[in-house]
Amino acid sequence: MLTKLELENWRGIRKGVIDGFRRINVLVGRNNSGKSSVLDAILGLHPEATMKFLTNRRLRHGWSDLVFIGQPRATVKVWVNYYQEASYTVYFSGAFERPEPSLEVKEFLQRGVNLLDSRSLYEPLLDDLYAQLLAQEQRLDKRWIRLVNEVYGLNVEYVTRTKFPTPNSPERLVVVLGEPENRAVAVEWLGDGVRLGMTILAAGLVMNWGLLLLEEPENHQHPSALFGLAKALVALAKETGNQIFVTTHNRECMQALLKAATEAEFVGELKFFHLQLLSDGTLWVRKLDAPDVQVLEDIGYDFRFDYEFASPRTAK
Amino acid sequence: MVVKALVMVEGISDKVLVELLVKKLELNQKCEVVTFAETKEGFIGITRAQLNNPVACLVLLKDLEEMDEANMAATVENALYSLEKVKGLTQLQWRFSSGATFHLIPVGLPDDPNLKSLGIRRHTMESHLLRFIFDHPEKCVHERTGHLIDDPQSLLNQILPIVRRHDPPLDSAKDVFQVLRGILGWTGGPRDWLNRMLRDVSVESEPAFKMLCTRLKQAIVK
Repeated sequence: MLTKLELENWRGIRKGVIDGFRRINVLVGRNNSGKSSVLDAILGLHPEATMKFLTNRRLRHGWSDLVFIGQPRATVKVWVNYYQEASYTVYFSGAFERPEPSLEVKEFLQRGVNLLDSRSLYEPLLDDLYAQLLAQEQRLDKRWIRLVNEVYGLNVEYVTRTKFPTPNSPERLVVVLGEPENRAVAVEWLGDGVRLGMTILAAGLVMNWGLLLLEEPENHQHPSALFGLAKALVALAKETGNQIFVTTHNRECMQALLKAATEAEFVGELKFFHLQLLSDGTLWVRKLDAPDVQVLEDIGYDFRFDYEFASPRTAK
Repeated sequence: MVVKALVMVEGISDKVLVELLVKKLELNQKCEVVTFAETKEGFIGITRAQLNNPVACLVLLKDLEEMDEANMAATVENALYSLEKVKGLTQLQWRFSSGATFHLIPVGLPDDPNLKSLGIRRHTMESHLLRFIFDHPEKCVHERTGHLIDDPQSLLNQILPIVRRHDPPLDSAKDVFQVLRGILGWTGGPRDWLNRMLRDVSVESEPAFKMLCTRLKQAIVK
């Protein structure tokens, strides 16, 4: 499990440390507070993921896009607790410099990472994940379909990959619905919320002890689905050991995760982080355990607006 | 950077009154009023959630009930000690190691002779409202009939012994104010009658609210 992250000159963050990560971590804060940069930094640790996600997600003018303005290089240091504590530092200066990690870190990184955001809808990611679901020792597609049905109130009987709707059509993922619909639909024809949810759930299922990074998973989700999705994510974190990082601007999403973790008696593994990026590029983080966030929720204190009440002493 | 204070009060009517006071004091942009009675652990839970906030300014308005200020301060200090060893700045103000400050504002007027003469021993926010009403009998207008009760204190002196025979001990300012509200037919929510009571009133110069206002200003204005 990732326990601590230290950033220097990483994107808009000149300096910042976040520690105390748990199994499920919710990052909140205003726009431009560094939430996405934290996810990017975690991604940057994984060579494969860097190519797969980070380059598409961030790089427009080259690697300098990842380095704090005027600085020669960025540093991302992490502490992991896999079977024992270890740290690992990656540098970026025109290209990635990844020193050979220790065995613990290497094994930890091999567990995998998946980052999902709204862009994931427009990538062939679900097709890849579906193949991975089938390629496991035990078929995971059944469990996946069960979760999708629970979250969205659907009656998916199975998902297959076939030429659809005619034999001349391209091969694609097809969802076969049971009663009352009794028909097949291409995955692309499903609503964005369902497709994104299917992708998130598949990504969570294919890894064990991996990192699931979710950028605003509330996008496209109806509130009723949001709680179902939160419940499924908590269940996945419990079952698979995956560590989940969620950025959100949505209070319902926070409340759904709180409720789901409480119901699953997993509240001790849920932590909230409020990020503030100060004018000098310092990242300031206030972290709260889930029960404390619940207390604040009870009095109507919206943790997303924590910056109105909290700041580092120097900014007063 | 302006950081808001978190003002913790006991219940909904307290919240409405304190929101009105801070608005009249032009402090409403500098604080948020919340009710701690709705949380399982009360004000301690809210305080714990602010412990790692170095600029947190927590203000607790707590009913004195039968206590005096020194007793209440000791009780609150003990409760704060359950979180961490706090540093006392004044009798009613403490600082946590993070830098967060905690201000206690006791609520009630235990030394008020008029309230004493009415047999009020347990003090709440309504102590201040009764004091205000006694100072401003012109506000004692029946909601429906418009009838004015020109001496509410004498009326309560007559009525309370009778009510006490059926519902003893009736020694709380909250209960006595309820009796007066019943007489005045103020049936709406606290926002209705508090707005009516305090309309065009400069709360800072009112003996009923003077101490509350001074302490709110001291706590919130940094």
